[in-house]
Amino acid sequence: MAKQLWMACLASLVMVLVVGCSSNNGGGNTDSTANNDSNTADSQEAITYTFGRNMNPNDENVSKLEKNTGEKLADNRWTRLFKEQLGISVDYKMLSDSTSYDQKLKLAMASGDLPDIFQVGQASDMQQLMEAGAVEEIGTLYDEYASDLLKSIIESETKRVFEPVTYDGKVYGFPIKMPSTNGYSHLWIREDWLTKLGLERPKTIEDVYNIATAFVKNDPDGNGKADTLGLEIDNDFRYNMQGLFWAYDAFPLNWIEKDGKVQRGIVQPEMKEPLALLQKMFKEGLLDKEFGSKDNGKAMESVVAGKTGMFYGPHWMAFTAEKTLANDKNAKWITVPLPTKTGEPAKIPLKISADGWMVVKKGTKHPENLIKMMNLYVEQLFGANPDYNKWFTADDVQGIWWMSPVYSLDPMIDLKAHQDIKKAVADGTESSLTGSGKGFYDAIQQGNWSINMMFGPGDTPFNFVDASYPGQVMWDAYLGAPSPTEVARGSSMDELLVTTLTSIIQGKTKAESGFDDMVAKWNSLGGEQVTEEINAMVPKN
Amino acid sequence: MPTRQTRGQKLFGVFNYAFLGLVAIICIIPFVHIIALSLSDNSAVAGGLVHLWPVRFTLEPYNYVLERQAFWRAFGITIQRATIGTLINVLLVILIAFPLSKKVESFKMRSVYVWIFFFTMLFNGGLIPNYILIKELGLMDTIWALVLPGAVTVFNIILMLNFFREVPEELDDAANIDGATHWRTLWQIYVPVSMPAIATITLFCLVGHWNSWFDGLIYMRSAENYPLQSYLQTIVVEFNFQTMTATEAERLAKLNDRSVKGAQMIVAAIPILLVYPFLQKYFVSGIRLGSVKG
Repeated sequence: MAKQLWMACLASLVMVLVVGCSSNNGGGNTDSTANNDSNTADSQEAITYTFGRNMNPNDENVSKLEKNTGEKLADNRWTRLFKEQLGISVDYKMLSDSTSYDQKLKLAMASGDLPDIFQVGQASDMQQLMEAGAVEEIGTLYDEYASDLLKSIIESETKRVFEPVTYDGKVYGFPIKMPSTNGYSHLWIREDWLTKLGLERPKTIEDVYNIATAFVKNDPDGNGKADTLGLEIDNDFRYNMQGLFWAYDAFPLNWIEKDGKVQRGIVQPEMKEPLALLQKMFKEGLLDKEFGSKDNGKAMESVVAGKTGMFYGPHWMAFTAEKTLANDKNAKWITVPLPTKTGEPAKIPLKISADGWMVVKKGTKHPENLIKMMNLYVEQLFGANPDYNKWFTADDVQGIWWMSPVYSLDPMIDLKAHQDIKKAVADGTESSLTGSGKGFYDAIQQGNWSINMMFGPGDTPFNFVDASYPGQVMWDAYLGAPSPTEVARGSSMDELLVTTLTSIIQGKTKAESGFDDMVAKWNSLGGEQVTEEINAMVPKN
Repeated sequence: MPTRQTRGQKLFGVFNYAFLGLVAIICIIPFVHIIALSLSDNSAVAGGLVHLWPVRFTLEPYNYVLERQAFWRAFGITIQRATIGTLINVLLVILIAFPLSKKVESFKMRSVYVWIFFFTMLFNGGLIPNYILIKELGLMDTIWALVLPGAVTVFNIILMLNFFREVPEELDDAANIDGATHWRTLWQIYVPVSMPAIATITLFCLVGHWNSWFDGLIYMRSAENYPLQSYLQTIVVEFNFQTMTATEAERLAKLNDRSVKGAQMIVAAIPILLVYPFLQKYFVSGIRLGSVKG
């Protein structure tokens, strides 16, 4: 009896296993045959593409959309639009946030399991796909099918936008354009501290240094303790403090043109002065002593707690700055035009901002459909009659615009919104605002501090962008993929740079000789070779 | 047998308690910290003002988590995975360990099989071959991709095998004489006697399934199918603004809410913490059993 019972148990378990496996096998097979069928049979228009998108289905706004309207990522206003107007159905095969998306994409590349149309986030992956001939050429299709509107949006910043996806003179990817103004580094200052200590807004980097000193020495928070810091710094200062380096025409993250050659900004002698300044500030206690072990989030704690009066960062740091208000009621933040060594306007180096590229797997039928989808997409948001309240932000859900299988923004969207709001407020024509300007203005009216801080009139990041774009902007001299040597040795070369620069700021290495040693070592590690390779890869005009 | 302790013994006791107490505190403090974070106002958390006690107490993060569909979906997948996976693991451990615990006289190929199993502990195919295998088997995006690749837990088999060997041979002989088959001997003699070991292994497997995140990350094509820890990994991982897309950086800056993350971690840890007390008694009896026999 007992034996029979055990056998029955075991048998049922085996059944579960077998059924589980086989039903899944079956599922997989029917899926793929269905795809093939729809490619050939039926009307020639109806077609299903498998898609890969760097988009997090667990995002708060995705759940909100589902709750409010019943729409999901795989079946929402965007996918329905593409199906109705173009007969294109979307089947997501890879879908996750960027960290795991890049991983999944690499695995898919290695195992030959790519979706029909997918997003590529990293230039090195793009390079591999192009070299392997795994993706369709798209440049001629773009020329043929893209609407004037689409072309004007994609190329509005610079024609060089296709550089990273060009291989052997042909274009293989479609840029997912974002506002390059995202690359600005702004100087944020506690204006209430300035007022309290009777200080002027900074024009030169010398002023910044003096303000930082006053913020530390003169007890700006008025608690009688010497517990404040002058300027926020963290272990990723190369990125997070770019604005300070720019003051000296030093560009730590960019390729710049110098002596007729493209060169790495971080190994240029212009870096020495800002490093010496940071070293001095560190020595005098104006900076966090422990910055070497703090990431941006950790280092910003002191700012949010109302203990640090200045920081460099992109415009969306407003969301972090806003939290200061809960800890210090008097806090008032401003951003100022970037102070420089001479007081002249700063040069602002920008990379062309894109959320990667959309590509079409080699052999996919009708690759031009990607361009057609893009035409339709931009028509809804930036066409003659854009409906922002349906396609951009709607039903209390932020970011409907990125919940589409393909997407792209007008690079001028943020700046235009700021300009429109500024003009409308000045002329008293707020009610006639449209598009993103209206969206932002409504948010400001509803008391959204961060939106007001970023895009409103006054001393805001976009006020500075308005004054400096595109006059002071300098596009990166090289926009393509990392060179082979960089791929192979980049991480150890980077390690050398980060550790040496950190140690210079901490005063353990001399700014002058230590920097020269680092450059020499970097060159012998492969820096020289990388520079040569990159110069060979730079498109000659 | 009450004896007076010598001074040395007393000293040792004091030192022992102090040391173990310290270790316990070190283990507990991170938990307390996360609990404090999860009960604090987000602006206080972002300002680094919260240490071991909530600042500006609020239950808002928990409300938020309770309403979060993505979290509960991931939670459900993990429960499913832990149940199915642990059942398969324990069953296979018992079925494999039993024959391998026999002497070479009664099972000639025994050491060959042991070596085959042992070999897989030292070498494996690597990530990409595994990925291709799972893909070709059609397991992608299914619960089986999470439970089948790790179905045979060799480490646990070795534990179990050694435990079975400890079982007195006389029991086996007696069962044999009474006409029991191998099946019956296994399920009616060996398994009941080995409950402490089975409980331990169950716990190992359960915790393993509960905590693993990497397989979910790569075998699930859509993040909608992530088990809980993969889901948590994507929200708590330190992000690098330089490599992520501008859209995402902006969104994360907006949503980076450590009190909510803390609340999700706590809610995710509770079920597995609740399992321990139930299996505790087996651990104790397991230890005692061993000492009596020894």
